[in-house]
Order: sequence, then C-alpha cells, then structure tokens
Amino acid sequence: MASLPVIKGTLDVLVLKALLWAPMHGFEITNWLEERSSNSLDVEDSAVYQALYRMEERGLIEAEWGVTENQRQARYYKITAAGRAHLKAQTAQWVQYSQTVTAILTATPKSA
Amino acid sequence: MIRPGIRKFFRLALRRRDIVTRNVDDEIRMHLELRIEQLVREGFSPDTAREEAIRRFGSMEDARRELQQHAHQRERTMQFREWLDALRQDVRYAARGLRREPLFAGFVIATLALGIGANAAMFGVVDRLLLRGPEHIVDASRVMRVYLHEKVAGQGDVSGSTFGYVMYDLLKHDAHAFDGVAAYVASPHRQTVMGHGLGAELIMQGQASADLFPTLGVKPALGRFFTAEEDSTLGAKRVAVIGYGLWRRAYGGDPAVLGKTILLADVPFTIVGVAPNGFTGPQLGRVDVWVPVSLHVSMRTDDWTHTWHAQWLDVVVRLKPGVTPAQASIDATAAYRHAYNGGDKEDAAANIFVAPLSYNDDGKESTEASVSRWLVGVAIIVLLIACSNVVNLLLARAVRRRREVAVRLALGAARRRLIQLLLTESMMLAALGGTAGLAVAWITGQLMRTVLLADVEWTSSPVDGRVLAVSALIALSVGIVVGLVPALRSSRPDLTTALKSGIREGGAQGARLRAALMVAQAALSIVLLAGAGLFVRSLSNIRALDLGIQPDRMLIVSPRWPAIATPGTAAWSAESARHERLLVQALELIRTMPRVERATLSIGLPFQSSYSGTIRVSGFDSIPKLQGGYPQISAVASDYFETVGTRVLRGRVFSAADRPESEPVAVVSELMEKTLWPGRDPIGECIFTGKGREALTTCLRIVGVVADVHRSRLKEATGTHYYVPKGQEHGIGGTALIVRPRVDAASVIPDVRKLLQEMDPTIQYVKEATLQDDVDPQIRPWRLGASVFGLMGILALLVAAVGLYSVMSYLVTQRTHELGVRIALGAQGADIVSLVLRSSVGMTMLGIVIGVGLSLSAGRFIEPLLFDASARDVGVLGGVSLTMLGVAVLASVLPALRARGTDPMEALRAE
Repeated sequence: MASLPVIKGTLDVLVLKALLWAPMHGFEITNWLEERSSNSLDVEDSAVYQALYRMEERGLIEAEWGVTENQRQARYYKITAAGRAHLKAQTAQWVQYSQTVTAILTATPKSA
Repeated sequence: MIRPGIRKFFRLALRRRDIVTRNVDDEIRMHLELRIEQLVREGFSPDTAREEAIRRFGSMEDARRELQQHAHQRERTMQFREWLDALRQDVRYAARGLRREPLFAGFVIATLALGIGANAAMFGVVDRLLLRGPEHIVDASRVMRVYLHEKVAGQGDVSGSTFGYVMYDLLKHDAHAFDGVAAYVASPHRQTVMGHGLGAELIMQGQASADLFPTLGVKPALGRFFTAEEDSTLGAKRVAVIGYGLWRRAYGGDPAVLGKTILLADVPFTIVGVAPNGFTGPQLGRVDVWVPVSLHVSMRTDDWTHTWHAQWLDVVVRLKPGVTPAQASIDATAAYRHAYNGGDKEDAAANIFVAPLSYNDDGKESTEASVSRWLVGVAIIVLLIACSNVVNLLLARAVRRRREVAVRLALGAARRRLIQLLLTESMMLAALGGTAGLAVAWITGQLMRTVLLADVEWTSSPVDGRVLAVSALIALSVGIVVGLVPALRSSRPDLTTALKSGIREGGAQGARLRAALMVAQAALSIVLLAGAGLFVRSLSNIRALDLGIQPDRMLIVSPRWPAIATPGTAAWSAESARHERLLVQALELIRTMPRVERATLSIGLPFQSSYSGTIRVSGFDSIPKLQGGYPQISAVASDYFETVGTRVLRGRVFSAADRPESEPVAVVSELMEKTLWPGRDPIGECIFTGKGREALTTCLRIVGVVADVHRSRLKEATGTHYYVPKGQEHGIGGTALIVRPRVDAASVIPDVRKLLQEMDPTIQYVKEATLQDDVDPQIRPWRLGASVFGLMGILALLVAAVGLYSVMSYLVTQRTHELGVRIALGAQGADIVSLVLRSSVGMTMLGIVIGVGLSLSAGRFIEPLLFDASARDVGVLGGVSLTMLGVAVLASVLPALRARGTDPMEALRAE
C-alpha cells in the first residue's frame, strides 16, 4: 500500500490520541502510530518529536524523565487537561470536516 | 570534601541552558538506539539497521535545532513562571510581615511618602518652569528669547528684551541662524476690557505676530491663527484668537464661536480661532485673547515699523537645527549692527544674544527658576534623609529577625532567594510609600501652584503622566537602595553565632553603620533648616523693608475709557482734559466717603509708571552722575504723601494753595538732597527745568524733603526723585487716583466703582487693586523658598527625631545586659540616663558640625538668592543647631528613661 502524506496539523492530534491511552516515550509513540496506521502514514520520526516539543511548549502535554522496562532513561510524555480538551475539539472538527468532504465527493449526480 | 569554589565551578559549567541542549541529544540518541534494536530484531544487520534508523528519523540537524529551540523557549517560560511563583510567595510573606508590625510599616511608608512626594511635587513645578517651559511649544529647547546687551554710561551693563518692530523685522529677514522669528507682547500689564458696562470684564490680551504660532509649533484647538495678511503692517485686520479658557467660560465651548464678534476695549474683533488648552505663548502667564501685533498702533508714532526709539515687544526665535545659542547670538549681533541706524553710539555697539524662555526680562535666569532649582536639591535631601532613616529601621528590623534568617539559611535557602525576599519587602514598602507619596505630591503641588505660583497658567493636574513616571522611578530606586544594604548584610551566612546568640551580640558593626546614618540625617536636617532660616530671614527683611510708601494701604483706581481719538490731536487733548476733570471731581466725592481715610491724585506712581527728565542745579555745570539715571518726577495732588505714607522729613508738602498759576515749587527726596546739596539745606534752592525743548530756566523752588521711595523693585538702589504739585507739571500725563481705605480695600471698591460709572457712563471698566498686588510677585521667590525650605526642614527634623528615637531604643535594648550589669554594680539612675543621652547627643553634635560645615560651603551659592541676609548668619545657624540638639535630647529621653528602669535580675537572666 502506498504511503499517505500526513495532512498538516493532524500529526499533533494523532500524537495526542496516542497519549490518551498511557504516558509514552517518543519511540513508543512512533511505534504506536506505525501499528495503528499499518505503516501507511508517511511520517519521519523527527516530525513526531517536533510535534511533541511543540505541544509541550503549548502546555498540551507534559514530559518527565523516567525509566523504561529495560532500565533506560527516557523522556515520558503525558497528556494534560488542556491537551484532552484540544484533542476533543480537534477530533470533532476533523470528523465533521471529513464527513462533509466525503459526502460531497461520493454523491452521485442526479439527472434533472 | 569538595571545596566550595570547585563546586561553584561545576555548577557554572552545567547551566540550565546546557542541560536543556543535552537533554535533547539524549532523547534523540535514545530513540535511535531503540529503533536500531527493533530493526535488528526484525532481521537487519547492525550496520544497515543504523542507516535505516537514521533515514527514518529524517533530517537530523534540522530536527535537532528545532527541538532545541522549542526546549529553550519552554525552559524560559518555566523559569519565568517559577520566578513569578517565588515572587508571589515573597509578596505574601512580606505583606504578612508588615501586617505583623503595623507601626513599623506605617512609619516607613509615611517617611517614604514624604520623601517621594516632595520630589514628585518639586519635579512637577520644575518641569513646567524649567524643563518643558510654556505648554504646547514643540521642541522647546530650541526656542529662545532675544536680548540686547549694552554698556550704558553711568549704569554699566544693561540687558533688556523689549524691542521695536524694527528688531523683529531685521532678525526675520537678515539673520540666518533661525528657523522662525516672531514678535509678541504678553506682559501682565496688557489687560483689556471685554464687553462694555456692567457685564464688562478685564481680560489678559496678548499681541502676536502671525508667525508666532508656527515658530512655537502650536496648533489651534479650533479654527486658525492669523495670516500674514491679517498681521500686515500696511493695515492689519481686527481678528482675534481667543484662549481656550475664555472659550469655555464665556462661550460654553461652542464651536460656532468662529466668526463671532468680541468687543475688546469697545472695538469689535472677529474670532477666527481658539488657542489650545493652556497655551500662553512664550511666557507662563494666562492669555485670554491674541490679536495681531501690527494692529494696536494707536499709542505709537507713524514710523513705528522702523523707528529705533519705541520699544514695546519681545522677540522669540527658533534656532535652526545644529545652531548653538552662541552662534545664533553672533549671527544676530552681526545682522543688528549692520542694520542699526538709530544714531545712538551705545546702541550701535550693543550685542544681541538669545537665552531660554525661563529667563527674566534682563536676560538672567529668573529668581523663581533658580529658587526652584534649589528646591529640587531640598527635595533630594529630604529623600536622602527619608532613605537613610528607612535603612536604619530596616537594619533594626533585620537584627530582630536575625534568628529567623539564620534558620532559613540553615534550612538550605539560597542566599539569592533570601536577598530577593528582603528586596521584595523593601520594594513593597517603596511602592506603598510611592503611592501615598502621590497624595503628598498632589497636595504639595496644588498648594505651591495656588499660593506661590498663582500667575502661571496650570492646566494639567499636579500629578500628571510625567510626575507619575518620575515618582515610579524614584520609588523603584528607593526600593532597591533601601533594601539592598540590609539584605546583603543580614543574608551574610554567619549561622552559628546568629543561631546561638540572642539579640545582644553581633550588632556592633550594624550599630556603627546605623550611627553613621544617624549623623548623616542630623547633618542634612541642619542644611535644610539653615536654608529655611535664611529664607525666612530674607522674607522678614522684605517685610521690614521700608519702601517709602505703604503699598498695602494704597488702592489704585484706574478707569478705562474707550480710545476715541488719535494721540496728539485736538480731540484727544479735549478728551484727556475731560478725564482729568472727572478725576478731580471724583476725588472730592471719594474723600467724603465714610470708609475712605484719604485720597489723592498722582502722575507717576512707584511700581507702576515713572517719568524722569533732565534738570539743572546751581553750582553744577552739569548734574553729577546720579544713581539710577535722571531724577524721577511725580506730579501729586495735596494729601499725596499722607495718603501713600511717605514720611516728610523737612519743610512742607503741597496743599490746595499750590495751583498751576502760583510759584512753581518742588519737594525732593532725601537721596536727591544728599547728592545735590550735600551738607546743606536745599529748602529755598532751585531746580531748573524747561518746558519741552526750552532751556532749563524755570526755577522750581524747593519747599520740602521727603523719604526715599523704591521706584520699581524691592531689590534696587533707590534713585533720586522730586515731586511737583499736580497742575504744575509739563509734558507728563496719566493720572492715577489713589485711595487710602480706613479698614480694608475690598469694602471701598464697590462704592468707588459705582460712583465713577454713574459720573461717566462711557467708562468701560474701573480697575481697582492695591499697589501690594504689583509688589507681591516680586516677593514670591522668597516666599516660595521660605515655605518650601521651612516645610521640608520641619519634616526632616521630625523624621530625624523619630529615627534617633528608634536608634536609641534599639541601642538600649541591645545593651540591656550591659546596663543590667552596671545597675547591679551600683550605677545610679542618673548615670544610666546620662550614658544614653551622651551617645545620642554625641551623634547629633557630630551631625550638627558636619551640617553647619555643609551649610557654610553651600551658602556661597545660595547667597545671591537671599534678601539682605548672609549665608553665614550666626543667629540662623546657631538657632538651627540648638533646635536640632533640643529635638535630639527629646527623642532620646524616653529610651534613656527606659534604660534607667532596666531590671538587673531580668536582664541577666534573659541570657
């Protein structure tokens, strides 16, 4: 299956969605995205980190150094209340947008 | 153990910024490692796994840079938030601490309020008087007044700012240093009558050349200013620009005022514009209406545009960018000397110079300006005293809190945090003090404006934006200065002694600093009090000054008639004669009024108008050089000397028997007698005068000698003066009606006004004011100095007294142990009291010595501002020193008595 380019801004929402399940470190998040999309999303790993740092600056997520199962130091990200609210709003917007676009694109022309 | 220096070195190496950078790198490395492991598990060889991991990560350097940027930004936000949190904590803590000690907080805030408020108020005044100058002038520092300086035989160096139209004209066309040249007349005497009859009122009229407004850079509030055509010398138009205040007051701020007619001295003018609020031209006094300078020519000769002999206007210029006042003066002088053709040798050699608008008519800084410069110094001294006092109190408080601070340090509080906490506290005090200071500034400013600077047109509040900004700045610096010393001192980690000791120990160094501050306060207070004493002495010297007349008992009544004829014509003479007759008739009626003690008429009046002329006296080929130029002449009616209060020294004065046709007689002043007839009795001698251009052959027989009278200034050497009976004068005119009221002037004014207006309905307005009103503005600088220095001096004394009290109380508490031991060893109460008093008096004496020294060395500068008082006045300095000493003793009596009451058992047990 060909890779789908990620529409600008949606990566943030996807990362937030990932963090909704549990706090994760960066590599876990990339893995989560790859699994969920069956590797069909064309995202560089660095883009995920940029999204994380950007959202941390905006207060949508928080980070903390923690220890992995293999006893390694890793930075764990956690969604904040603001992040949850943002995700909810963005999801609703996305769903409505995609429904509208889908409805228009899939409508069959009727003869007059 | 790692030495502190090394630890510090490492901490420096690991600044937060580096940590952030390292964290980013760690995170990327971690990601790559995990990815490689994952790929290897999927079957990649380690090398290809590495390549693949890096490929999937994407552009490494870009990502790294961007992540670091975000991280640093986040870090900064976090630091700021942390700082804000800490600040909030500190503020809360400091507020709690101050609430716990309301007396301490109240006193500190009040002290700072006085210090900051005094400075804010003084700034407000100086800002207007010196810094900003009159309102609405754009780039005021480049706008200057033009002066002429010349050497006049018999008078020395003379400077003046009044010129004829010709000077304005030549500077405008021939000088190159100016961007604008304008002429104006706006002295307080330029009053005019608005309206007619009962509704008439006296308003301030300014005359301006059309280029005054563009030269100053001012824009009208409504309408426009005059055009050059309206101000043409060939025929100016009757147009007027009214002042903003008059517009609001008389026209209710109606925009439809443009085009309306305003009646000025019975002449209709068309209103073409409204000046902006507070615009006073180049001077500070109110102007109600501006009319073209080329218009009012009725009093002038036909050749007024080019004669060098008539002088009535001031000239302002705007210097071109980059031109210095000195260059401008040279340029103007060259233009003037080239153009001058007036035929006077001294005038031809004169210099033209430019000086700031705040300068006097004589080209020197005005006394008000210099006094207010000094008052800024005073305000700064008050602030210094306030600060040193607050530092003192904070130090005492810091000692009380030694243990608390030590505990905090021991618990690991960083020294920086502690300093921040203490600074927060002092900033808070300064902010509160500054806020309260605004109230002080408002009250002080308002008082100074209404009482002392009443002639200046003030439109803004005493606390305007600039004053606010300056107050904030002062409060900020005060907060830092006042907090820093105690903060640095008390945060010095000397834990063990502080934790172990009580309040007794460890204060020696602090006590020395506090004593030094105390001495400084006493010294500065002495300086202020000495200044106050000198100004009060000046003021009382002025009050005691014998002017030769009693201005407060002289009500000057001046009716204004419409100008219906041109001077010099027959119609004009007839009209003048009619006015004269009316005044004579009115005089008789006024003399019979029950509230009037005496009344008289005079041509030429001290502080108002004067005439002088050449004379000849037997025994001299030419009159010896007389002080103040030619003798002054007054023509006075009977009862004049009794009415104005001039003492008659010898002979007789005029009576009703001295008539125009009787023998010409004269009364001379004491100085004239001493100058022209030294050691001889002048009575019976002749003063020879002449009518017009005749030879000096008419003998005025001297019949009496009267005391000298000041001509126009309080600070002047009186000139020679002689009087002739009214009716015998030649070539002088302008009769004033002088009334000496029995009780107060105000009770007489309505009656006199009614009488005159009933006698002659053509009178536009009757102006009545005591001569004191003309003298008062001259007293103002000394009154300003005396009241401000006095007020500040007393405040300083109060603050110093409370400071001394707090220091002595503190010392007594600190020495409780020692005092207990002394009492236990048999010291008497009196010994203890004298022990305490000795140290306070000692500090004060030292302060007095320093203060007197300072006053003496500063006296040199202040002496020119004093009136007949020496800056080395022993009475003032001695009195001030004694006052300070007395206050010091009073302030330390309570602590001393408390020291006497020390219970030795308790004092010793407390340790």
